[in-house]
Amino acid sequence: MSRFRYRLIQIFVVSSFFLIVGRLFYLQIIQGPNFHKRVKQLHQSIKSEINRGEITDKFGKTLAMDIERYTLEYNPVAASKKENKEALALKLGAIFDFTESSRKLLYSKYSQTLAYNLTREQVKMIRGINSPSLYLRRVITRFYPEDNFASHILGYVDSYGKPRQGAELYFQEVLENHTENKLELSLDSRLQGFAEDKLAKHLEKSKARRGTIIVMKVRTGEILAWATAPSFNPNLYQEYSLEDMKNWSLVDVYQPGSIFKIITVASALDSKTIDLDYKFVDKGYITVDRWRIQNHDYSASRTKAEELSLTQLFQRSSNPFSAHLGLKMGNDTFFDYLSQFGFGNKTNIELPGESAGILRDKSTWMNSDLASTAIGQGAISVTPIQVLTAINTIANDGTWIKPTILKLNSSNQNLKTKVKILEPKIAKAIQKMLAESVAANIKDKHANSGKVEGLRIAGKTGTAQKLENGRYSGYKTVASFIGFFPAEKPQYISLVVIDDPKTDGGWGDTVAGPLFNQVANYCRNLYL
Amino acid sequence: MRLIDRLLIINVSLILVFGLTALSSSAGGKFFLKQLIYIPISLIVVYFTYNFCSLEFYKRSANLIYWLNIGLLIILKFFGTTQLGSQRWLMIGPISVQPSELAKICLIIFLAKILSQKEIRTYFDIVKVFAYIALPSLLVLIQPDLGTTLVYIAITFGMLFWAGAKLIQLLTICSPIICAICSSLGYKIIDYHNTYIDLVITVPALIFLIFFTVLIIFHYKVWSSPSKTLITMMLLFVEFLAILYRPSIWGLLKDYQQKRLTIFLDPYSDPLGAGYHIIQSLYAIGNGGFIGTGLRSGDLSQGSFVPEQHTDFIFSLVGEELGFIGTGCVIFLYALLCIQIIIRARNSDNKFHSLLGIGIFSMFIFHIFVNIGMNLSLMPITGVPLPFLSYGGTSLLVNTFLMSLVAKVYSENQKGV
Repeated sequence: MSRFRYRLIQIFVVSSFFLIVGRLFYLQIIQGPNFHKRVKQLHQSIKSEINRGEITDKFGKTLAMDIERYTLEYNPVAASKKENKEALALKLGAIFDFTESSRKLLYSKYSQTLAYNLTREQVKMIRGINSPSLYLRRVITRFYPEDNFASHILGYVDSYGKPRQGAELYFQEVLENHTENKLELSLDSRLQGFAEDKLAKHLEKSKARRGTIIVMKVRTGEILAWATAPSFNPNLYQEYSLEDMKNWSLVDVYQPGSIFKIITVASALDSKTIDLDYKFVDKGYITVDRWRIQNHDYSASRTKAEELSLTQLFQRSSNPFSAHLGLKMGNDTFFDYLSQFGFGNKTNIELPGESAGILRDKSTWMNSDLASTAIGQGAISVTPIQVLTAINTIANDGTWIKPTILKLNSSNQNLKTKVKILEPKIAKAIQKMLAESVAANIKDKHANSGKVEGLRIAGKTGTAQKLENGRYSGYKTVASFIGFFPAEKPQYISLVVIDDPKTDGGWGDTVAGPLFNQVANYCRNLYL
Repeated sequence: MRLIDRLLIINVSLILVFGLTALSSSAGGKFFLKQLIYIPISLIVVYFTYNFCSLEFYKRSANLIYWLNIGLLIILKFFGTTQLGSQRWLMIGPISVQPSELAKICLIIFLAKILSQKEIRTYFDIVKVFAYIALPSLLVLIQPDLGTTLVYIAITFGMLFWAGAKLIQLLTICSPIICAICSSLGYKIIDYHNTYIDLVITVPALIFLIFFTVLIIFHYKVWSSPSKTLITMMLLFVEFLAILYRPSIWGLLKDYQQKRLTIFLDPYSDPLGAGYHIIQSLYAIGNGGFIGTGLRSGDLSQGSFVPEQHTDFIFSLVGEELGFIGTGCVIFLYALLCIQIIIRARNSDNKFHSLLGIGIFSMFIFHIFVNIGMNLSLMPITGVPLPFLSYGGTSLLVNTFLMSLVAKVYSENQKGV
């Protein structure tokens, strides 16, 4: 045959094989490491074979653990031709919940996962079927034995083995690298359980949007209980919305309202703007520039001007008095104290996603801002954990202390961060005022808050109007109560915040107060 | 004395060993044993045909073989079993046979015979050959099995070229298809839409048209006679028709078929659908790197993430588990095989023998190039198996038989020398 044709065919053969080899060289040698890395990542996440250490409460009760589970996969390629898929479906149906949609998977051309989280017994039975097309894959899954319990603190691990929030995410390094060590949290399961239970029931009753109860040890900053509602079950995280899984008391900000007056008074006293005997004539309202700030019970016909002491400021929750203190301190002083108390900064508690809150810079403050900030509105927005930590400074005799979810022992004392903010004398004086005002309100006004048999409580209610689209809502409130006890020598502090309750007028005293009392009583029975 | 083609046997055996190794690692080794059974069967069949049927015998019975083959394909249409949405298998007792595979042998023998009897000179000669191929091709196309149909066409082109068809003639035959494909690529230059005409000429189509026209004009000296000018203009008209009707012909294909043919251009556009096979295959091959993950430990191959990894995608398993070394060896062996076949075809004095060799070569290189190209995302997905590597009894038998023909070409030629 012709030499030309032969040469042409030869060239064709050689060039086409060179093209293939070139492509292979590109894929396997040049891109190989990339592909390899991605396949490894893919497989690690599929297998989620990463072991994680246990998480326990302060008594060593297990809250999160690794368990061994099996995943059942079906490989149609390995199936024998004569395999009766319907019979196989029947057999599998006897072992686990085999739905119609999983039955269809048997007819797929590709490998399919038929079931997750199979137990040892189920695995034994599946092995008994002895079909070549069934493949059992051992996987380590994260299990939360108490379901919803403390879910916002624990966080969860997704089905790819990736921690998604809470302690699981924050302590990822520790949990994955030191699997033999248990991560001991400061939570007291008894108190946590009690708080969660009461909060859930309360939310159901008051139809509130959400709520939180935090109980902390005054001297160490250890969180004993942190209930957040709505909560979720980390074992079934897929079934919850992101909104439900968010720890709003760590992430979202609100305007704290009257409980913030504690901070205002503390700042005014410590900056020596006023002394302990300072008195103020409360006319029921105060006019700042063109704005008017008035008391919640102000009525032009009935309200009479009255001279109030600082204790009475708390007792009446006097807005004009607080606003007056703010104005008297001025931008610089007040802003300085607010920063010291940690507003506008994260508390650095060991949880991911914490919000720093909002503290508008003092340069932008007008007099009206100064006055409204003094009553817990205006230039300030806080997270519940932030406001708890700030007010704990007063309970802790003037020293700010970093909150922690870890159980403190001799080895991790360094986690404690302390900042002295107030003179102990002043802090103690405010403790006394708060205790007196609570007692007086119980006696004179039949108030609920702090009414615990045989326990003196120092505290303050707050009923903040909610900001909606930049305006204060007429009827939506955030009801809160913060208190510490025993008032003589504070050891425990608790904050209750209920967002948008629909019952009891939405008042801090009527909504948050009773909840606080129950928790304080339970805590007293446990510890005091 | 009859010479035995030892080199070819060694080469084929090596490829077969690679295939069996890959199969033993695929799908838990389920197909390994089955394939192992087909090897002695193929060897026995080939032993008898090699010893008792001379090449002259095939040449004499070529017509009979052709019509038997047509008959078989028609029988298949009525009695064939349908698997995976395609009617390909004929059950004869316990054995399932794929007539479209056997048809490859029949077509090669038949074409070798008719082409050896008459030199290809004119376009008319070429069209006549295509008329013979049309019937079996259509019968396979309606199974549907586009891949195998394309194999027949590739065989025909290879053998026509060897039998004397000029490149320009083959190019002219293909030009409407090339033109249509070109018009679907690149940027639009002329985009004329109205109710009657839907003409889209793109940059590649325009380049091809100009190149082709210039080639034709100078090669045939079109200006020398008015009839030549007329024919050239008609040819150009045909090209335009191809561009014009491309959308409607393409529209005859179902959505998934269109996607299967084009997805290799961008497999990531549909990673869980049409692109799934290719992406998994690319990942597997890339994951293998230089030395591979080792047999039975491919991350993707073992989890059966790569579909059809015992047949169409076995090359990706080799790529993952044996790495660049493994794929390099396979490519080298295949290249060697192709060159061995064409050397035997060239050295033969008998035109029929020589054409047989080239037919077999055309079939092999098409299989190899299309299958590996599909694994490497260079080619559309068409279910074309890799010779001696992919699982499949009929395919193994056919390939072994074809190899025996090549060996016979070698030995009978030596005899003559």
